[in-house]
Amino acid sequence: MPKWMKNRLVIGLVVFFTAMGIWESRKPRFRPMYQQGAALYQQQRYLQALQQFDRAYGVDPNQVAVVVMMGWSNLKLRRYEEARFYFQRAQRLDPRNPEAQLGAAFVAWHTGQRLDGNKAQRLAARFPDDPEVRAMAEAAKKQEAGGRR
Amino acid sequence: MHDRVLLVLDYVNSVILVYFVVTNVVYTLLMLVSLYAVTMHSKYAARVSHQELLDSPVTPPVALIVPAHNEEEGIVQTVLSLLELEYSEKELIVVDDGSTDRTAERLIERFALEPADFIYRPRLPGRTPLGFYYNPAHPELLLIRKENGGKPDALNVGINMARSPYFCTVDADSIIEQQALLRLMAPVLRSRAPTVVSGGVVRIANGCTVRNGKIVALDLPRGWLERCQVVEYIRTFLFGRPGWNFLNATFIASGAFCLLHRESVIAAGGFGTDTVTEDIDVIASLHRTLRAKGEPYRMVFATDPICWTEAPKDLRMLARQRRRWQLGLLQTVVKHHDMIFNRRYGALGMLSMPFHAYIEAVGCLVEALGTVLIPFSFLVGAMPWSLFLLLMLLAVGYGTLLSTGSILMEEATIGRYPRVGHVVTLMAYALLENIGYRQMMAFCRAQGVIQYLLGRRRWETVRKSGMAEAAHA
Repeated sequence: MPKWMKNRLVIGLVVFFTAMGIWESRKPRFRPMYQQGAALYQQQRYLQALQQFDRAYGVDPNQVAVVVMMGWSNLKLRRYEEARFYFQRAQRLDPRNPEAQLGAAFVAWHTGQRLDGNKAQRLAARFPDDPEVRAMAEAAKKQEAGGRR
Repeated sequence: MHDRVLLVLDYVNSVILVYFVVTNVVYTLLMLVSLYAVTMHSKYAARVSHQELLDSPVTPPVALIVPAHNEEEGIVQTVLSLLELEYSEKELIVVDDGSTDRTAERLIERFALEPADFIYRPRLPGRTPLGFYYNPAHPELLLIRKENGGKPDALNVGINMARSPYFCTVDADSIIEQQALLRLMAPVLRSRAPTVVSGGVVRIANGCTVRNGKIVALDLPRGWLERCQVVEYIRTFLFGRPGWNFLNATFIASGAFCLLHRESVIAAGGFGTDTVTEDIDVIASLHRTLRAKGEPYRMVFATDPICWTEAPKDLRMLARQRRRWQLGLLQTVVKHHDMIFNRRYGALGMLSMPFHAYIEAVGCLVEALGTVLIPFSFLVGAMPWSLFLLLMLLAVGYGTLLSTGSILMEEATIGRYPRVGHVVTLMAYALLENIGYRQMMAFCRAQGVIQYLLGRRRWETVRKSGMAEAAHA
């Protein structure tokens, strides 16, 4: 056996990194659940997607991506209050997250609340290929014009 | 592939998180112990009459050993300051370690030293002296000239020539406060167990005015790098070493100013030449020898004996110094690895050695990695905002707390800086030190570890501009 392998410093480091590896491998991961949820969401199976995202949320409640998808799934299921909660939480976690901003704007639009015109325009510029975003921006514009009259 | 990268990132981030949490828990405990130890010591120091120690017949003689290699700029200043130290019986041995400049000549001229014949008994291995220089008008001073063999070799030669039961290692570019040697000896005399090591505090002299080997005006240096070092030194010497000393688990005592028991050091084999930090190595060797003998002993650390030294002014030299320290620390913990988690060595084996091995010697790699990886992970979205914030708080916020705490403690106990402005400036630098400086030092230290792993184990010379300029200021 090489001499360095008997060194307590080396042994300690090996023990530490192995223990960390075991701990890490046993730790449940949000990512597989998140990816499964995303695949279900793509297939428009929103309820099942929400269940997967909910499991991922249980593992890592601070993952903005998971929180945002919880919001989108709830929105698709027309559970507006839940959707609002998750988008707001996502915005608290990452105030600059465009998906969270977009989700919150959609919730407002769907529930007939007043839309922030400037914000809607910025989002439309950020997501130029999304017709729904464009429609929302148009609605915001109209709301503002109506408000001014 | 993407998933595997994220998996690795998750693993590394967990390692970094665990490292920071463990480190900060240990530092907190150490801080609490240090706080108690420093407070107790300052209360004791306020009561001790140094005049009594000076006059006492039981105060043992001390040999001051100054290894000098190419120190012509400051050697006369250092010797003058050491000769004026308040101490009843001392000998001053300057070992010229094969200087290629006029280090020896400066001393010979200034003190009118003449060649003398002395009996040399080599109890420790070392290059044979080429000559001894002495002047009966300065009976305390002895100059030894020898071939270059490195600092540990010079120290061993000095120990061989010393007659006193204790010796004090002093760097040739240091200035020791007049009562510092007495203060260093005070805990030795107070201790019930035989004391083999007494360490003092090293502070940065950059910015101070030096005249005739004495600091006549205290001030802070102008440069930010030196000011960060001032804060760093205060933290190290007030929030670390006193704690380990309290637990009787001292592993590091600065060789710039350290009192050692001569016979114990000889029994431990003297200063080893196989590491670049002989001062750490000798402490570990002393622990090993004395534990093997089963003799009671104590190593103490006092916060009031102060030695002033010059800190590197530019980043290149500072990086060299830190690489060397890191390399030496790693060499020493590898050499004495059998002490790690060894119950036979008590708190040293179970607490201090693991701390110095895993946190101080190797931990800088994790710290350097964390400096790069934490912001990277956060930016690529592999780390949640909350974890990023927690790690930043642990890395920067906690460091700032420790630094500011140590400055306040310095002010409350030792209080060397005379102006409020100094303290305010140091508090500001306690914050700045944790944003940039500490991260840079982590990289330098990590380089030292990498040098060790690559097999580059040589001494990197740190050139200093010398404090002599200030002497003429």
